[in-house]
Amino acid sequence: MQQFMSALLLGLIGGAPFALLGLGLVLVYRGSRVFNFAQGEFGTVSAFTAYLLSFRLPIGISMLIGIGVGVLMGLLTERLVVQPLFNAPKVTLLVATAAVATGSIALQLAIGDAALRSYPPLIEGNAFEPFNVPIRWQQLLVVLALAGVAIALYLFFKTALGTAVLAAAQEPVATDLVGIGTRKMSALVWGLAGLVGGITGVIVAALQPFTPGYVTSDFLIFAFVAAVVGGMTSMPGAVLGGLVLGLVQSFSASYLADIRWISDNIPAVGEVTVFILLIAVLAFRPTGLLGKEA
Amino acid sequence: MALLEVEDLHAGYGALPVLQGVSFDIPEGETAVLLGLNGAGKTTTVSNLVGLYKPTKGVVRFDGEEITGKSPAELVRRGMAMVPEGRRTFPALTVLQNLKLGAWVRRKHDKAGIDASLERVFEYFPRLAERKDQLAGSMSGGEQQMLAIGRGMMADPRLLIIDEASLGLSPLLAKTVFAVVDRIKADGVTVILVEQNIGALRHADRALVMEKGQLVYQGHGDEIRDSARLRETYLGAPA
Ligand SMILES: Nc1ncnc2c1ncn2[C@@H]1O[C@H](COP(=O)(O)OP(=O)(O)OP(=O)(O)O)[C@@H](O)[C@H]1O
Ligand SMILES: [Mg+2]
Repeated sequence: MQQFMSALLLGLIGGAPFALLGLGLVLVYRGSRVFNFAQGEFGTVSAFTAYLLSFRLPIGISMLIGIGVGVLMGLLTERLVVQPLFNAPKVTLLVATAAVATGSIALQLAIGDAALRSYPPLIEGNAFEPFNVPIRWQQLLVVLALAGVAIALYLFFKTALGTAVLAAAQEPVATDLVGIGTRKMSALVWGLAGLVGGITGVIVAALQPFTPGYVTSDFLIFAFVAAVVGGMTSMPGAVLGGLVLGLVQSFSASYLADIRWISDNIPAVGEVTVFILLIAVLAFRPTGLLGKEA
Repeated sequence: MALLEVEDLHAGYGALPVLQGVSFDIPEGETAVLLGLNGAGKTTTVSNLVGLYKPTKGVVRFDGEEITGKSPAELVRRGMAMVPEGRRTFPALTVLQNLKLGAWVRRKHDKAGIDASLERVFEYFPRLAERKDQLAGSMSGGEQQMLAIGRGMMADPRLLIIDEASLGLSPLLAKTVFAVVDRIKADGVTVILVEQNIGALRHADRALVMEKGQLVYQGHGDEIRDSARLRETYLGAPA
């Protein structure tokens, strides 16, 4: 029971960053039909900004400014990369966002170095200790941020503006004709992606010491798995996908690693099972768990 | 006075010139049909009128004011709406969402007007009312054409341009659509039909015929109906 509860709680918490980052990916995909490989870097850049400011400012304010820089990075990516490639094939944009990500990481390495950095947590200590599993405030904050972002995005897509964003991705010419303006919606989507990425970054950066490219290297691939498993266009799908991923990882790490042969031969069994899950979902449900058009 | 005046319009795509000086007027309240073979430049003409592309030369006036090169958003606000070639409905949105987006520029200041427009569109096309929660992408081609026209009417336009209203429709459905065009005209809206189908002449007060980026005929259309030679030269239709 103890082992089970511990795997359950740690799995949900461990999956929350994937879900949070996955929401950003789904947002961009629904609003631009682009696989955004820069989503993780919107987070890392925000985290680094917060880290640098935290020497002079309270950590809460540093994080807010960091998030603002994430928004700025989203908007700049849209203006400098997405808009010039508006009529290019979407694959070109995918590669271009990957270039933004590698460029961002290179820049962080050039400015600083590869050393581990950490900043003070927003709230110290443990939030609670259910079933003798200590849950730190920082971990709880990731879950709260996930809930907040998920609800906010859900509500946003219920508004007229949210519908207009979907329309722009589905049929740009008609979006212009009815007077919405495709390019305005594109800027809005990427600004929001920067916001969601920034929130993700400053919050997951408090979980553990981090290096340049932290959010990309530690979370982006799994966030993509979460989004794809969830159906790529579905917000609840990305959340579900992220949490399932966390659970699969924690349960396999907890239970499979008990099996001697596995722990001897497969070092990161949690990650292996995640990709087995991905392949299984894509084989049996190519549209993802909650996938539909939109 | 003419609602729409087009003077010496030149336009193209990049370095490729397509329109070589197109001029015509459309009086308010009339229905005009723009005919021509594939590639004659009909879509290019109307796309430049509604601001999807910027003309390289020439002047367009709407209600007496120059509107050359203005954005589609500005033009739809002034009362020009277009139903684009290929329908271009929003496939993963419902019929109702599609229609409401058609009224985007009115959404803040004209809520009552939007409700009235919606009712009118449902009256034109009862099918849309029955299907209002269906995703546009799952509707038949004919239903999508109705939706595209309905979405155009949701802007409450003074001028409605329909690019290829009858393309791909069964004769019966084409008749339904043209009957609605007649009603739209009766409701006081000026209409430009872009067509390859000479049958559209029956619903128009004037006809324009394009060939290779130029207007080669303007008139009331009787000559086209009556002259096999004209039909054959300009429209490739059998005598
Ligand atoms: N986006 C574009 N880029 C480049 N050339 C184009 C583009 N759209 C149209 N053209 C060219 O412009 C010319 C006029 O095309 P247009 O679409 O205006 O013809 P149309 O009269 O509407 O024909 P149809 O009846 O087949 O729709 C054609 O030679 C076409 O190849
Ligand atoms: Mg055409």
